[in-house]
Amino acid sequence: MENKDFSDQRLLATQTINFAAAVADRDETSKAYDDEGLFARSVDGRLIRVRRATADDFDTDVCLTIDGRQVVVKKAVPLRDSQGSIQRDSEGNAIPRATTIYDAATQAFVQQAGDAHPIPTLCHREHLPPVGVCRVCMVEAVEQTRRGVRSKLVPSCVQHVSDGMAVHTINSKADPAAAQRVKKACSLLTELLVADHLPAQRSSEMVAINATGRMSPRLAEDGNELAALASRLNLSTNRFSKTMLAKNLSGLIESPPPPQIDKSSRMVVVNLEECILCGRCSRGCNYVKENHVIGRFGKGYQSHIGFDLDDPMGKSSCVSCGECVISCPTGALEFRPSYLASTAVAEGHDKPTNVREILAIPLFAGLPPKFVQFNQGAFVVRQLKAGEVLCREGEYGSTAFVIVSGRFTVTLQSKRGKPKKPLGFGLLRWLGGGGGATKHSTVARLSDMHGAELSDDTVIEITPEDVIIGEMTCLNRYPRSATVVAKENSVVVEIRRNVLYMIQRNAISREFLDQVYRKRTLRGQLTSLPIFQGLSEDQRQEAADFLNNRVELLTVEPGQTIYRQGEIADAIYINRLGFIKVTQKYGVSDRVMGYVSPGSYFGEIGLLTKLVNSDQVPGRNKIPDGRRTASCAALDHVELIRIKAADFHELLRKLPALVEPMLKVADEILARDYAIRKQLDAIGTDDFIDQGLFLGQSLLVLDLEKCTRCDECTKACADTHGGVTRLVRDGLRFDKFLVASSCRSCMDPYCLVGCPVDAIHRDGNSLEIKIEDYCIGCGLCAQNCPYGNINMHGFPKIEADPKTGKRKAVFEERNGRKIPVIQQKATTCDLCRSIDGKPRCVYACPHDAAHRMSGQELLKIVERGGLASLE
Amino acid sequence: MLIDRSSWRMHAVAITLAMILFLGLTAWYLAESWLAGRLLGGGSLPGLVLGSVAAMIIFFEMGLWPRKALRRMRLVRVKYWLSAHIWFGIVCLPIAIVHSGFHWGGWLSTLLILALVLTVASGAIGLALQNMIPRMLLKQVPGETIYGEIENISRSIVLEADQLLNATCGTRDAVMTQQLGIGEMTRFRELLGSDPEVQMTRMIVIGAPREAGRRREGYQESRAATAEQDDSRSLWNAYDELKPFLLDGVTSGRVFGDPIRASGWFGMLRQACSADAERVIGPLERLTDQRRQFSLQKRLHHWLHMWLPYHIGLSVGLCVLLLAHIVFALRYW
Repeated sequence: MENKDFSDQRLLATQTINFAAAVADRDETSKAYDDEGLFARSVDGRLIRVRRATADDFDTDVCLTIDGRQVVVKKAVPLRDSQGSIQRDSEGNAIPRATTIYDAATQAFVQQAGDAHPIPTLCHREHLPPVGVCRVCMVEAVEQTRRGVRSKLVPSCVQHVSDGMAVHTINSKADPAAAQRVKKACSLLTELLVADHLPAQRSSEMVAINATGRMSPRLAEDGNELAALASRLNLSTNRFSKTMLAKNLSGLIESPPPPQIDKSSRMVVVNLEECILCGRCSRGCNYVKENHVIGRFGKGYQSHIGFDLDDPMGKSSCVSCGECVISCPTGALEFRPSYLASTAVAEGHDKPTNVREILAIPLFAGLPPKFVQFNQGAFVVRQLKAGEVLCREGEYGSTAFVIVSGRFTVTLQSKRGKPKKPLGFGLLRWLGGGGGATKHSTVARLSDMHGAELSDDTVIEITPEDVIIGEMTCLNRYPRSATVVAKENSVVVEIRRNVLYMIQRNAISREFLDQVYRKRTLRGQLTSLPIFQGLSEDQRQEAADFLNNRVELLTVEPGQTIYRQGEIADAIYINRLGFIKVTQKYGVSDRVMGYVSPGSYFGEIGLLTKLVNSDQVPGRNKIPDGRRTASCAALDHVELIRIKAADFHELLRKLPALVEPMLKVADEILARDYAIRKQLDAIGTDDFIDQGLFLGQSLLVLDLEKCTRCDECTKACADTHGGVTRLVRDGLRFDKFLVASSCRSCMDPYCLVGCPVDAIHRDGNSLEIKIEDYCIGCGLCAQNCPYGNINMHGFPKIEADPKTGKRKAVFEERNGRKIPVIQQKATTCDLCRSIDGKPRCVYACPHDAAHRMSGQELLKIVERGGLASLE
Repeated sequence: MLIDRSSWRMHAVAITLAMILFLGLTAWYLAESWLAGRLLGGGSLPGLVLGSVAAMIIFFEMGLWPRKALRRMRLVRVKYWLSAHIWFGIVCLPIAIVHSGFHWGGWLSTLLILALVLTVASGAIGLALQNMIPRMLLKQVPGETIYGEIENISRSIVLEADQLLNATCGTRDAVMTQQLGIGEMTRFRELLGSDPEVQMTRMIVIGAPREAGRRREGYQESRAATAEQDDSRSLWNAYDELKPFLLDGVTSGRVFGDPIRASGWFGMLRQACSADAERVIGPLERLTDQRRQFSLQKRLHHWLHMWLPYHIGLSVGLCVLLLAHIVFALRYW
């Protein structure tokens, strides 16, 4: 009876509330649009009434104030991927994304790497798509609406900016009351999260921090952002902690369940107790690495992250790339200490890297501490004496150097492009050479371009203000373009490519790297452009000065169109990196006219048409005014320098001496196009480009007319590499040649991109792609290689004993049986560098059928009809 | 080893050296014989030198075997060795004939010279085959694969065809259940489940489960189940007839080994089925063509390598006879 009464009362109360809500709804109807306009928008525009950002928004200014500071931002910014590359549509136009309050605050308050952001975040990171789940980044946004001024607390990571908006963060001095409101809300959220997800031990550490006013080194090293946030908000006590609740609500709450710790993985410990469900791990796994292993399971308090179909991590399809741990802002995902210790030993370090020391360097300030833990070998502090060489020109280096102190001299040389190995003399030369199989030059062109036009004795001085050196080689995977020598006793931190990739995830660091590039390299690159060859040194400098701050730096993804034939020509391009396919309409289909290699420029014809057509030189080709004469598309990862048409024409007006050489070049190109069109009828260059042969610097080519399929090449490879062959006598055919499945030593190897521990790289003067022993077997390089030339093989898992440091095979007990653990590792052709640098496959071929050559050499042989080809 | 214009430089060295050796020794032998007024035998000084040279050449020829086995060692490149092997092997025969003074001699020397002739002949046949068959493979087997992988790929072909049929005509399970009955089918499944090889765990593998990277141009056809139910039975029956050929090649295929007859068979199947069935018949025909190429590759591969065991066998026999000849010649000299 009593229960029934209670139910009735509750029903009545509910009805009353519903009625009141309905009345309130009616009153608020007219305001609904405004409120919804503020609260129901998301960045990707999936919610109703969200106006998608358009290309026009790129040019629309929005003026707002943040903490009293006036900020002018564009209404939209280009959508970027996790590495900061601009995303483009099929037409090659940048995809717009509405600018958020967080973006505007970043622009206003974060001027350089290491600057503190005024808005705290937990679930949001610049390189990840925002989801706005934690609400910690909330700010107070004041907007002028039709019904007057209205202020709301909004999540800044997903809230779009609007003209005249006033934003107050927790630091706002312009409106301390607003700052207090924001801080109160943010503190409450943080307090609740700390109560549920920060273990008691860490909570007590946090209190200790507040007493001293400084962050505990351990917390900083752990990278627990929740603890750091609580510290930032000065949360000394927690009203919702389990202890407090147990004290105040004795008997009303159940004792908490034991922590759910998943130790099934050999690399990562999963503690769901500390998980705040921010989704950074799942976005890292699914969006950044595209492994699609982590998802969310359960509802309400049962919500948790899970692997595959909520399997234990060690039994899931997780490839152990470490991205989830690096992304995790709490202790929910952490590396196992035994794994970190064994990695340190495998990479040859006696003691672990000092995370604090590394993070104290401003450029590294934004790096997650767990990333530094995970990549201990990727940071090496080097102390150089005066005169010591830091790096040499022509070496394939996979590292960059962050200058801590000291000065360096950089010498640029132009003596490149010669064969690295002599071919032998006399009879030996006549027989085909004694210099081994790699007879071609091992040097790529882009690297040469930087200093090709500079004299040998040119010296550039580098100081700590330059911050970083060697980053071009590290990012582009081309040989080093200069020799760097310490001028005085100096200290540098040598970092690997994966660290640079991680730095690039941050917009400020990206901008910083771009500035370094513009300052150091771009000017030299512009000065040495072939179009300026006819100019005097002063005129070249003048042209470079004119263009230096006007050019745009573009990144174009593979397959993306740069411009189409017939379009209006609006710019000329210089190719910094990668290859571009040039096609022309030929009847009903497109024909490949050739490709633009690094260091070349293209797109000038369309800008010169008026000059070309007005000239009365007989025989000169007429071309449509201001239109593109061919289509250009990126074949691989391409980086371009774009000079706008207006700037280019201005340059021609300033330097009339440029006009005649340019016309001459345009004529030559048009004549060459005609000749190429004729040649294309005979040569299957489509295959050459489609098969990616143009990128190959050391293809294993088998002449199928000579090859007797004896497999001596494969056997020799297996004999040399412990019984595991690194070549498969199968692959794509080009004319009568088989390009066997063996590493091609691509000019721009895709396989090097993204390795989470940088275990795959290119060193020294060799073309070899080297895979280190500490490969974690994630298979990303094998997946990246478009030719299937990297294979995963099982090797006994070796781990270092944390106490003795000795390495030993790992076993696991299952059903009373001791079972060896097999670690998948990537293997690829090392050009027999581990032996003596002469590929065994070629040496062992009894029929003179196996050869190593570059793609260009192969094309020449095919063009000659294969005759006298492989002498 | 291909002998053509592209490799003449390499062969020219071996040919020149071999000819110098042969012509020099023969000239010396003829000069000595002219001085002696008769054709000198193997026991004379020129004969003995010629015989020794021939024996050394034979032992050098046998050296190719360990040279190829010792692939890790940086000896002379195998192609130069093989070139020398060919040309010195060929001149070995006339040198041996000159050494014999153009006489058969006893049974041992007769046997020896016959063994030498056969060995050189088998090598020459091998050389001829190596010059012809790779070109045939290049032209006639565009879908060539690694010889040792033919069986595996054939199984993949069958798997692909199974998937195609399952996707378009309904599962084989349904057909088997119809044919075997539910009881038999359950027992069949239990048998599969109790396979110890399936259940036994031998090792724990961690890391990427991928075996290899992506292959450019690679694709697999997969389609939705849209074929008419009426055709399903005909297609499964036709596939039952085709499957042994896809697995084993010509050994079990009566019709499919011949492209013309196979084309006729697929034509009849097309007539028996509706137009929708083309999405199954077309891929099956392509797979059959691929399997036929593998069968041709197997035959050509067999011819390309079948001479080698004979050549090696004869060479070993020749060496044994040569050793016996040396022992007897020295004993009775």
